[in-house]
Amino acid sequence: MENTNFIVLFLNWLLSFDKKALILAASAIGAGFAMIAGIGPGIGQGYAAGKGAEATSINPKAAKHSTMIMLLGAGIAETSGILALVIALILLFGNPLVVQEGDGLVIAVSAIAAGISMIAGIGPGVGQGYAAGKGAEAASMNPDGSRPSTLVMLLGSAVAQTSGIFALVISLILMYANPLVSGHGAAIVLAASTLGAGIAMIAGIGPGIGQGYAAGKGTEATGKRPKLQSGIIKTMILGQAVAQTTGIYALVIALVLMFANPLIKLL
Amino acid sequence: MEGGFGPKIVFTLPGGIPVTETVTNTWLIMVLLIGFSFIVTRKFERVPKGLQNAVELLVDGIYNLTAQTMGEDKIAFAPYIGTIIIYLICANLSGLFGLRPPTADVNTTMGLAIITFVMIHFFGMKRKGVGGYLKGFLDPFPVMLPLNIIGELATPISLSFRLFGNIVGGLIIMNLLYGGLQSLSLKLGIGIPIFQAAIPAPLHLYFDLFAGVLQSFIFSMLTMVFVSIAMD
Repeated sequence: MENTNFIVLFLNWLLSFDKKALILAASAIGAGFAMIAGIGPGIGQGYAAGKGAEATSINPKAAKHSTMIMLLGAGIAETSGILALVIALILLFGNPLVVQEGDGLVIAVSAIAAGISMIAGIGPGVGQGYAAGKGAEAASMNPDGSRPSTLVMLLGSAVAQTSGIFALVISLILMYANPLVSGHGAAIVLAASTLGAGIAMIAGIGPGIGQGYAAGKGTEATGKRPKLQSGIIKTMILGQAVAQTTGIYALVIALVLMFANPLIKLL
Repeated sequence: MEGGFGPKIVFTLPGGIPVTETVTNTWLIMVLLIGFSFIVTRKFERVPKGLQNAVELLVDGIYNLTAQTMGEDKIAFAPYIGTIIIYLICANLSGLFGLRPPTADVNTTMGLAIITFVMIHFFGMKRKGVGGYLKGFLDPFPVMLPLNIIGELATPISLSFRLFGNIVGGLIIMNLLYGGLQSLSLKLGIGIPIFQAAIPAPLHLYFDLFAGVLQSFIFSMLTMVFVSIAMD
């Protein structure tokens, strides 16, 4: 019987290739996907640069100082872009999936999912850039309080990185220790679960931006009232921990899909 | 390039226990730090001069940072915080001397994060009592219990992978850059890889110096903040 279902046709077409070629092609797509994360640092650092320019006009005397803080913050905002670059480089130059035993389709999808997962880096990039901008602003408004406000910016940005780090963890698991590759069951379900694990991590965009906003506001508040630093830090971190919730949901779902998948047994 | 970016095994102990670069480089840093603290703590004088000045500045700075971040009542944490901040800076900067940073191994960073995790919960229980501490997991609503537990478990994961990801990322990018520069100079027919001389310097500045020092600082700061939040 002639099969006209598009997905079946597509899968048959995919499986007509050599297993290694399929994995290499998927790695190329995954590396491309990973780099989408660059949107985040781009927006964030642009915001920081804008705030830096504004800060210079507000208080030219502190221009050197606020520029330094802007650069420091922008350096942190680069982190998720660099993590994405690292995943892309591993996929291109040190791909561990090529030599893995197991179903070709699942391994190929692992490469794509590892890339998709890194898209979460958009969030931390935007958020940390916002914090960097607020840091530069705070330094120009109140140069005396710039040391504590920079400290709050660093801490807040570090927490805002969390969802990007979760994405990195999932990405590394997908590449080095994906349990579905040697799993038993229909290859299509295993492959789809792998892809789902990667897609789930995109949720990290939200916590990244939100926590970055909290970090920026914390920095601003500390700049205004440096003496209240430790109280501001505590409120900020508690709020950020709550904002992390949806990112943790995503992490849990990604881990469940890989390590305790209920769907595989249904078939 | 199978496992091309992992730590190499230097030698194997009897009984088949592999000893990796991570372990030997940690030993090296330990020897250096022990030697350093032995030398600088000889012959203390009432009026400090020379080396003693620098060491007093360092110790003073760490105590001030701890008091400022955790509060005066938790100043007793300063020696531990000082230890991890100095160790992490040495470990992260060891890449500059051609060593593989011990922090580029998830075992090191996870070990340090587990110490922080134990500290958070031990001192939380010690300060609030076991019952009062466990009741905190039911806030704001008892329904939040599973999420609170997962949130607590996520802390050491994000703490360790933040450090690991930054350092290993720099390591991989620098490795690929050196490899690329070498093959470039070989392609141009120059036996000596001259391109490796100056080009990587700014990247070393960013990945080793900036990211290394910053991540050491952030790890110690987050440890302080988490422990002091658990205690208040």
